[in-house]
Amino acid sequence: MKYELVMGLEVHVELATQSKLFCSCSAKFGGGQNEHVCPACAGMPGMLPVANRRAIELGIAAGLVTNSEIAREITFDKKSYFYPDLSCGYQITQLFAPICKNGRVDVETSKGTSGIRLKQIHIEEDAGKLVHDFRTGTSLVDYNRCGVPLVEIVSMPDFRSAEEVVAYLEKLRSLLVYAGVSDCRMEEGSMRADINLSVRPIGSEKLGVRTEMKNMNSLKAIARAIEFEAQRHIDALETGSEILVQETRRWDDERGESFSMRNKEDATDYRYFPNPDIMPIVIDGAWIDGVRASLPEMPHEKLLRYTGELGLSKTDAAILVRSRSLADIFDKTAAICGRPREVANWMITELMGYLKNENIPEDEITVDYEKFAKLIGLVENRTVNRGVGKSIFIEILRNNADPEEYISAHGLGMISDTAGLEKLVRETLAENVKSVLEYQNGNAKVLSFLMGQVMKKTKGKADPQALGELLRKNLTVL
Amino acid sequence: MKCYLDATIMRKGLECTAGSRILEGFAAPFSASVVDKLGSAGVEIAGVAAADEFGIRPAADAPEPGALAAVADGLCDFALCNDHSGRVRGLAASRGLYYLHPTYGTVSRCGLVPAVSSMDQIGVLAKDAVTVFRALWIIAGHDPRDGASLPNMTHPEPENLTVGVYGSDFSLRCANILEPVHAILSAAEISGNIARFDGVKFGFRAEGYRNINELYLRTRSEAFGLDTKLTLVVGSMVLSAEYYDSRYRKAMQLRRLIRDELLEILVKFSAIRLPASITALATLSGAPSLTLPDGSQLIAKPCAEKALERLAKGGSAL
Repeated sequence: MKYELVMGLEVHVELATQSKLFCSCSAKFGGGQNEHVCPACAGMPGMLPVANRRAIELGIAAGLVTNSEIAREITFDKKSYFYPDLSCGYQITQLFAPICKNGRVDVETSKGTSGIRLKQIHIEEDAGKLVHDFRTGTSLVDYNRCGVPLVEIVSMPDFRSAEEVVAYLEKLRSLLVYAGVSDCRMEEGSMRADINLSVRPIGSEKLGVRTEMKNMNSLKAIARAIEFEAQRHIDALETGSEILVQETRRWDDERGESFSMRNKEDATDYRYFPNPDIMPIVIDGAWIDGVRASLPEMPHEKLLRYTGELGLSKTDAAILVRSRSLADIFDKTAAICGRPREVANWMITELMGYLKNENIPEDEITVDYEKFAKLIGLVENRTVNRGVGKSIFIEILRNNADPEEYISAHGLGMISDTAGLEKLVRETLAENVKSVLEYQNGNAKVLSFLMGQVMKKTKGKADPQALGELLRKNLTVL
Repeated sequence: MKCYLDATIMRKGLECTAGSRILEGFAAPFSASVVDKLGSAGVEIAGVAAADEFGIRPAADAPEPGALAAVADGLCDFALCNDHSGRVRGLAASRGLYYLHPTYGTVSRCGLVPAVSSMDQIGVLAKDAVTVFRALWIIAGHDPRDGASLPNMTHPEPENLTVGVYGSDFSLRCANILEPVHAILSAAEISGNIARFDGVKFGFRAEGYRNINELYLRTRSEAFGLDTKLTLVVGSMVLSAEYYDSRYRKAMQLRRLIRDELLEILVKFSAIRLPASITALATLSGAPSLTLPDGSQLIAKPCAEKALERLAKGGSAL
């Protein structure tokens, strides 16, 4: 029997605000234990919630970049349950009137493009963190994170493969980082994905028993978790080795298995009701338009401009657009030097390799645009050759070197003096008689070897064009 | 002037129990907005009056809230209470006192231990109308820290004052649903507001627990009184998935009808006069009500405190 995988995602994303959702404590990541805490988020009585305007705006932004409908009026609700990391005994969230509905994110995989439908996006507050001391058997609570604003992005069960899930998360991340909604760092917990998974025989319309998976802290862990859980479901259905129950399971990446969280949480009635302390918030067209106007050019818009107006290839454009940092470097540098194709070339051939070798994440790279643009100009006007230019580029990236200063300090100017070069060419040919003979016998490839030898003598600074001409001239003369 | 605060109003650094064992030893981290206003007006806070636990009306016989004796016996000029249950208003007449329950949103709730968020208001208990309103105008005012605080405190000076009398000038279609609606909504909101009292962070924590669930159960069982526990049971039930629509949601809809009926009646009169015991009408509607020593109360439109003031001081209009 062949099975189909059916999945839905609930993605929690921490909003990039200065302060928490309902109090003015800092929402910054980290901080000493219980440093960013006040009577409101610590669960003390007497302080009333005051909504963070920026958080609402980022919620609107998240809706705009996911093609969602933005609600005209939103309310906040209390979701009640007891757990020590929840200081008030309830979480303020949105059940009855979420900020966005019916969005859509297009995702590209090896099988083509699929449109993932979003059920809704809602704003809610995060809970604190528990720290367990197994030696003493005590648990400690840190409320720094309690009250930090989140959006929860809920998809329909449209996913059919792990590849689709990973592509969606990468796309979602790209959209939200571009829009300034969040920095979406899975390793810091500012982006978390829970996956609802079930399997069914291909062709069946009925959904199978679904399990919810939590605690996947990277895209690779997600892919592994999906593979494991799908197989567990299939095994259960085929062999009856276990009975599938609707439950929440915790993924243990080290052991490569999922474990049932088997607590009464699954049966919890959260007793949602509207929070009487928070008045309904009206979101009018003017506010939405304002947020829309403040959004930067989004990845797909850049793609169109790069491949259309600027004539870049689709593959090149796709690489540049992958992270906002890369796109910014491209846009700003091209604006200064006026040579977009050159900038793209340099970035793709040199910068991407540098990032890989130095293990720098794509969204953390910065370059001095002026210096980068200057370097490109210096290569174009033949002050230095391309080979030397590449090493200068590394100096700019690593040490923020100024290209002109670096060239004069190290005497890297391109050598085009024909007389001097010809002397070196004749020297080289005399030293490599065997190669000359091979060339005369028709082996043209030997030319690049000979070029390399002369280049070495000039410490890499020769003008390759002039060098090539001189070599050919002298080889034919022989 | 001297005043007493009931046990639910916070003063920085001082113990604030809200009448409950669960807040024993809880030192308020800041002072209520009203306390700041009293200070600015030079009012001395002479003491704290015992209150019903979270202001919940006791099911059986129980000592009356301390504010009544404090005012009646002259220990202070006025007392501030949160009378969401209506018990203080009900008892005020028997002590020959006035009580003003202001329009919802008139007085800031910042620094008040919350009970019924949509009904909580800090009101004034005093021996005479002059003192009541003097105190009101000191504590009233917009506070951006309270989302329900009325933004524009326009209190219109009333013109021709007319008073409608219950029974002769108007009747109440909603009379027999006032108490059930009030009970359902109060219990629901209180159960949400006191969930934070769990023994984990501050206040009372029971001993002998072996895990977090026992910590919760023992703490809340030992420290909450019977009336609070009954409120929790009812509150949890009316918010539960099974009963939400038929109880809580229904009560919310009926509350709207109750308020609409009151406002409709108040189109014809500056104020209405009815027995002081019918407290839920004003509480649910967020309308101001003044309890009089003769056992009656006056209710006016939201923000029409000045009409109540004129009527109370006038005396002959009643």
